[in-house]
Amino acid sequence: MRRTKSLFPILSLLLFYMLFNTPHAQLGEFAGHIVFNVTLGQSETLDQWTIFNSGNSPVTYNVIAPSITINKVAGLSANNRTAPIMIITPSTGTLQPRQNQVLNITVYMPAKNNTGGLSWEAIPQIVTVTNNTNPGGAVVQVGVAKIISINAVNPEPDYALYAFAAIIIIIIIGGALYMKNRMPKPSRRAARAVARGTGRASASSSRAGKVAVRKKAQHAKKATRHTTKAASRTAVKTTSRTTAKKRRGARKGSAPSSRRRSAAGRQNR
Amino acid sequence: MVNTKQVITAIAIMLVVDILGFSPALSFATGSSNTIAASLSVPNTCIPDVSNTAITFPITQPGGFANTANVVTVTNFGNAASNVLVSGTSWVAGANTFGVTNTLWSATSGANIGTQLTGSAVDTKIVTNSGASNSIYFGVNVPVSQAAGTYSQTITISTSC
Repeated sequence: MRRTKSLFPILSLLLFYMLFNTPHAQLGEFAGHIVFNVTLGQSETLDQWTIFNSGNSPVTYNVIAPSITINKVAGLSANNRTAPIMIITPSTGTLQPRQNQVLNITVYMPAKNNTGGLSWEAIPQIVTVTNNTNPGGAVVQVGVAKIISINAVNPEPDYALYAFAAIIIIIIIGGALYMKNRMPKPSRRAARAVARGTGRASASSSRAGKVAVRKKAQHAKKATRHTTKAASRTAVKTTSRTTAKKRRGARKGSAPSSRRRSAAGRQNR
Repeated sequence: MVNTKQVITAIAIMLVVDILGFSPALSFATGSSNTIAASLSVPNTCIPDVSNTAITFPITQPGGFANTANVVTVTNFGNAASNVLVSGTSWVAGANTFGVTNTLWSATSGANIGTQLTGSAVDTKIVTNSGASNSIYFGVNVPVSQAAGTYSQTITISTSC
């Protein structure tokens, strides 16, 4: 009886030792929702999924790739869309007791058939690898999962490209204006020919050109008529003035002629 | 013998010298200390564990079903609540197979009632709080004219938080 009593503490210690040193591996994960906002045609990588081994023996894990399902988005059809591609690394590994592992998740968003505003959901799983078999039934494996949201984002406009295009347009317009100023002006003869209506065929072949030529010709005729009239008026005025002078001279006697003669005599002297 | 007056005077001088910072030894004597700021971040976690790693269904004839009564208990050893997700693989017996969707899961035990298991993880909406446990029940529909054999499948139970 005494021997049994003396063995009791030893047995208790042994029991505690067995209880706390039984090898067990427990896979766990850090909490948190992961959201990807991926630009169309581009990819994004996040390292926000941390798993760990809370047990006291190594655990070998394996990633089960998710099937990515599209969410119904108001105003956008979910038909014929191209699902994003998700890659998780490392896809397999061994975690030592109390060891953490950060997993990198890369999502590629295809631009084909997709538009900004679409969203998908993916649930990748990480399970503990076991060699259990159960013929005639199911093997149950345990793991952690992460519900991941993926949003498609339209690419931002490339302002540098717009600025470059604007510079090119300015250079082209400036060059054209410069070349126009450098071109020789049409000669006066050519201008007169145009005014007469015998200019280049291109100018007079069109209807507008013909009208312009006709107007110019009429204008020239009018100008000629005005000039002739003005000349005749001037001639009439001159004649009338001369006649008036002669008459005045005749009335006053030969004073003007005597004056002329005296002036001529002064010159001869 | 040293009288009280002398002792008080000596202490007063030591204090004045200490305050003025003339003697490092006295600073040590008055017990100055260094402070080290320590910080520790404890994340929210979920750590799932299952009660059994195998389910043995009763022998079921073609066209028959094994009731949704085969239980697996999921315990969350983490400090955050988690959702329980399930997925599975097809039933295989050598060259003979039948689909994963013939397996049903349910949060309650019952007859041949439940949701079809799929190849990709599905949120069961069963929430397991920190330190708590929840049960999931599984059953199987065997297709009509399914070839005889000893079939097996893999069921994955995971938690997400």
